[in-house]
Amino acid sequence: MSIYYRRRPGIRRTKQPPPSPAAVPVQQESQLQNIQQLGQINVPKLESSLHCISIVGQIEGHLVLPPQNKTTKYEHVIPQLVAVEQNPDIKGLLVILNTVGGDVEAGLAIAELIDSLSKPTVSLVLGGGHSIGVPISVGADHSIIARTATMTIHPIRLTGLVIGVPQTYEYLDKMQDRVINFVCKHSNVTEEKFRELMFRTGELARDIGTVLVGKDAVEVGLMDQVGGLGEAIKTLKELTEDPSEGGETS
Amino acid sequence: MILYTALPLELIWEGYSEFSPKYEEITKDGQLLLIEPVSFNRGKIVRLISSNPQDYMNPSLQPGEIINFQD
Repeated sequence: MSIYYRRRPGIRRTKQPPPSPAAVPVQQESQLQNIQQLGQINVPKLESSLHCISIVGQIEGHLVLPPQNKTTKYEHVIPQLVAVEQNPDIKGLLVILNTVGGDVEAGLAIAELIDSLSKPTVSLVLGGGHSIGVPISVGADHSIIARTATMTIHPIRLTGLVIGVPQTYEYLDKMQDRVINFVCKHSNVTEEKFRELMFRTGELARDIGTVLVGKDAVEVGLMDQVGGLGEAIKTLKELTEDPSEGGETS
Repeated sequence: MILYTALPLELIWEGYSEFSPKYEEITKDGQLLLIEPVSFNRGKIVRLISSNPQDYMNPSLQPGEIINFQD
């Protein structure tokens, strides 16, 4: 032990750790974390004037969901949207959705923020934008759906877990009206059409409702365009270049 | 809280009765963080508590990141 203590200052004096190797373990650690958390080595550095927020899995609301759920945490997305609005270097926002739905209030909160963002916003639905994903996707200035993506429109289930509120039919009906009103106000679908899609029987095996695949969502007026990433970035660039189109609500 | 989702609710809530994560509030570099300890001195960020919106853009403070603390 005494040798160890006597030697250590000597080693420190002769072997000053050079700055570059000291940075390597940090980089390795962050790469390891990227592999563990994201399944990829390098997260590309953002030097773009466009920002992208992905809304995936369940939208987690007031309760932490069990770990088998992949969730988007609304308490983190909301201040990020504030940061996008506030940062002068960010000119536009791309919202990528692949969600199965989630908390009504958390979803509506994100949808309202995306809608009220003064910068151009484009939403791109890939895979699925189901249930509460519908108001989020129509909240953007321009909404694009991939050819193979689907959107499920169904009523809010009366048998769902309802916490903190009286589980009355009237309450759920009001909740449903909030979603319907938001969707109809921000897309070209009429309320009658949306309600008809929501309560249609015979399409879903376990539920009433409708599944809209790519083109169908555009035909009913819910989404603006069928497309992909190329179209989304192109539209966003057009919107950021021409500020007069930024306030378009559809 | 009402879930409006296309997934069956029994699939979402499966294991909820046994699910009781332990969270701790810590301060690291002046940031108040809610973390779930994973091992000694290491924890997974659950939530960032800050009034500066730009903090939420910091990649090292995203939920799910593993951080060392108490050092």
